[in-house]
Amino acid sequence: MTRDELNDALLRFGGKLERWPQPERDAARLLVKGDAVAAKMLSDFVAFEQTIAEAVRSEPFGATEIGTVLARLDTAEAGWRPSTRFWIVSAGISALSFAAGFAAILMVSSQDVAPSLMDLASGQVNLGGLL
Amino acid sequence: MVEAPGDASLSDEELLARIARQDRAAFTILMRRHGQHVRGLALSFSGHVADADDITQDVFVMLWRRPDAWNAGGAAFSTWLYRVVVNRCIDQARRRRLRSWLPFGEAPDPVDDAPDVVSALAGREHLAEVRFMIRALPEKQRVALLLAVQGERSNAEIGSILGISEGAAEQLLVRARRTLREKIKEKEGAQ
Repeated sequence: MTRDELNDALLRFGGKLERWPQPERDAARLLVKGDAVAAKMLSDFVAFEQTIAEAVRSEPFGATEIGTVLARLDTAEAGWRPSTRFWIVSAGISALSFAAGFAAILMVSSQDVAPSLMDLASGQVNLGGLL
Repeated sequence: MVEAPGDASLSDEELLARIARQDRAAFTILMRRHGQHVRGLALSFSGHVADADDITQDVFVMLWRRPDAWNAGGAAFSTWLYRVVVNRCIDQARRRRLRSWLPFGEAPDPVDDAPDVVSALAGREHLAEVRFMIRALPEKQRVALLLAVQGERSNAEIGSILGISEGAAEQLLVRARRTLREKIKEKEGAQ
């Protein structure tokens, strides 16, 4: 292994030689044993990775965090959930509303009703003195 | 997180089977076992405490409701779990980007700056800068690096989590490490 190959392998596999594939690991160990510059490359890379690990070190997930998740479960389970009956009633109301809307359109489209509705919309109709 | 004696004897698969029977003790063991990694990845990826908490809670609530979502015959549970977390992190980041474009979007949350409060301590400021550099990496490079460093996943596992080949995962890691190493050197050279 050359120094360039060591550099490539460090970037691919990281600084922990024990996690490298066997052939690359053996070659790297041989190189750093007899080459001070290569040994420095390895130790610099390990330090670099330690810096990254330190920067992203996560906080313990303890009782408080677990309690928050459990509380959220309780809230969700205690919350209102629509039943099958609710969906059936909702569907019925929707169907009735649709039918009523359809009937209204038919009425508006007839000659007799449309003018009075237009009057109502434009505020021209007499509503017993309310307007 | 250290597990209580006896907890370690139960595999993830056994815990999930118990969770399917609404066993909260098993659920707690599972959270204790994986919570730190889940939240750590989410926080390091996003840099936002609120996002990391949301993702962590969503993932565990999903596991409680659908413990059968993981297929025991497929990837290892931890690999699958990381995949779920990564997908949620990327979704959350997309939503955050979208919100930032909307005129009625909410004000951006402050990035996790709790450690910076004590940046007067030697080294803290430097670590905050490294965190910033990591968050500046492209999404997939960032995830690959975090899985390698924080999750201690192998290149093959990272590939599996990201749905790419081991070689492609290695290339992400090479680019992420090279970029970070150069930026850190530049920073140190400038000081």
